[in-house]
Amino acid sequence: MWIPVESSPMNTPRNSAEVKPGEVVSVSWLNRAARNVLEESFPLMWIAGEVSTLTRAASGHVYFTLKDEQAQVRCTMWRNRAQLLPFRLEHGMQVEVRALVSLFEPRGDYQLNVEAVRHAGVGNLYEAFLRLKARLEAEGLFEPAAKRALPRFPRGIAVVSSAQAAAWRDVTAALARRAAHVPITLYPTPVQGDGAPAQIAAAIRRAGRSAARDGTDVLLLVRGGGSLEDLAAFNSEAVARAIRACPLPVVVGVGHETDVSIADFAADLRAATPTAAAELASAGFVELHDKLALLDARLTRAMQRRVETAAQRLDRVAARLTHPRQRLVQAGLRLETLTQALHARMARQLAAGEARVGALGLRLAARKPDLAQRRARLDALAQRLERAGSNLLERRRSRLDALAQHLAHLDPRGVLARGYSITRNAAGEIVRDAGTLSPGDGIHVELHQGSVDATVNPHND
Amino acid sequence: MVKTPATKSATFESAVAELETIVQDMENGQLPLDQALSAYQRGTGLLRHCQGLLTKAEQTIRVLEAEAPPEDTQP
Repeated sequence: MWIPVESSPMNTPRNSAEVKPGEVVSVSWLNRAARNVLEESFPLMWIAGEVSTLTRAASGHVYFTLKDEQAQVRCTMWRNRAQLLPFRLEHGMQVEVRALVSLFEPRGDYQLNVEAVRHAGVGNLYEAFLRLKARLEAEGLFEPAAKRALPRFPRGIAVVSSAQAAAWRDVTAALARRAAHVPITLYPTPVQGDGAPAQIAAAIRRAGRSAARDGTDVLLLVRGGGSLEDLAAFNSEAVARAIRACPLPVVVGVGHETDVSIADFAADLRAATPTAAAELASAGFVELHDKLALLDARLTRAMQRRVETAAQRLDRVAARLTHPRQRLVQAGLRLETLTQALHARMARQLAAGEARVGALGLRLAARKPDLAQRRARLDALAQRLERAGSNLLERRRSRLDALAQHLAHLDPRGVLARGYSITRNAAGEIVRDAGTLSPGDGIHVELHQGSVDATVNPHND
Repeated sequence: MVKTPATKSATFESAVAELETIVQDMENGQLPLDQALSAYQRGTGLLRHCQGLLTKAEQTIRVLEAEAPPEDTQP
């Protein structure tokens, strides 16, 4: 079948347009030209078909045929591309290949150079995902306002997952570490496969219905990572609606960080991994640990302060409470102090007075009159007075003597001596007229020598 | 003299909230000494209760399989 062609000297044209009518070209030239035409005419595109006659060369390149009911085409996937395949190509697999249409020159076979392969229908799946997301979003299923807060201290945690899944082990490990006292209830369900969406939704409803009975107040919907198809169940409308209808707030933790599933949008809280979901559900307890330690310290400090305050007050009051004896002592001390002060003041005043008197004395002395001169004059006057007095006395005495002699001549007793008498009535008055006397009157008669008392006798005349 | 509160059944929220109130009251320093003392005892009781709950290390895990034919037909 295959005819070797000699190399031709007329191998000159570069492409089909350069071929002149009647010109002969070589097969090599034709194949190269055909290849160029093919590669330039078709863009890189997706082609769907079934894999058959698959061989893996020792070099690592992969060869297979892509076919449908009516046709087939040979495919080559170079080693560097084949290495990147996320799954193993198998005979009979329905796939979509992203490929460049080309031609294998040595054989003249038209073929596809495959760059990437994905499972058939994935493109549709993604479009369906976007449509579903848009529809549910428009319906308000992802409304941020509708998101419910997790209880800070859950009393029981419901988990919807597969009992065999690594996700379930991650959740129990995280909760054992952070909230070992919180009971966990698993509502097991397959998380992949055809029936998974309905089964997951049913498990969520079950968990919601028996929340009161099982003592749960938050639900974790978890699953490990996987391809987009593996996560198909989490992109289902049934699961999204079950999440929103669940009476418990739902945390979705799907270990698939690049894409976000419908379940993530519907969740009250989205976690990057199952472990993260468990940590979010138990965050309150971790905070509580710290808070309790803080409250412990504050409580102790407050009590200490309170006691110290009371003790200080007591001390102050005690200081003011004194024994009467002590008061007496204090009063005595005070009295003594006052006395001393009084003495000191008196001494000061006395000293001041003395000083003042001294000063006045000096001033007085300065003004003392000359007494000696005045005394001499006074003495002289006294002598003159004495002399004058004694002269006067002498003259008077001699005159008085003369008068006394004269007076002696006039003495009535001289008369009496000559025989005269003096008669006095009872009243002692001298009787000069007999008519003044009546018989019986007593009279006193004084003589020169003695006296007699007599009575007047009647006289007839 | 300290009331024996229903600490056993108290939720974390109420226990912690009460504990906070007690600590604040005590920090104000307005409580008479005897009340401060009983508040302190009550506070330490609540504290022990909360810490005890947190450190009770025995986790209970139940697996609840669906009862026979599930009647989860309606969404």
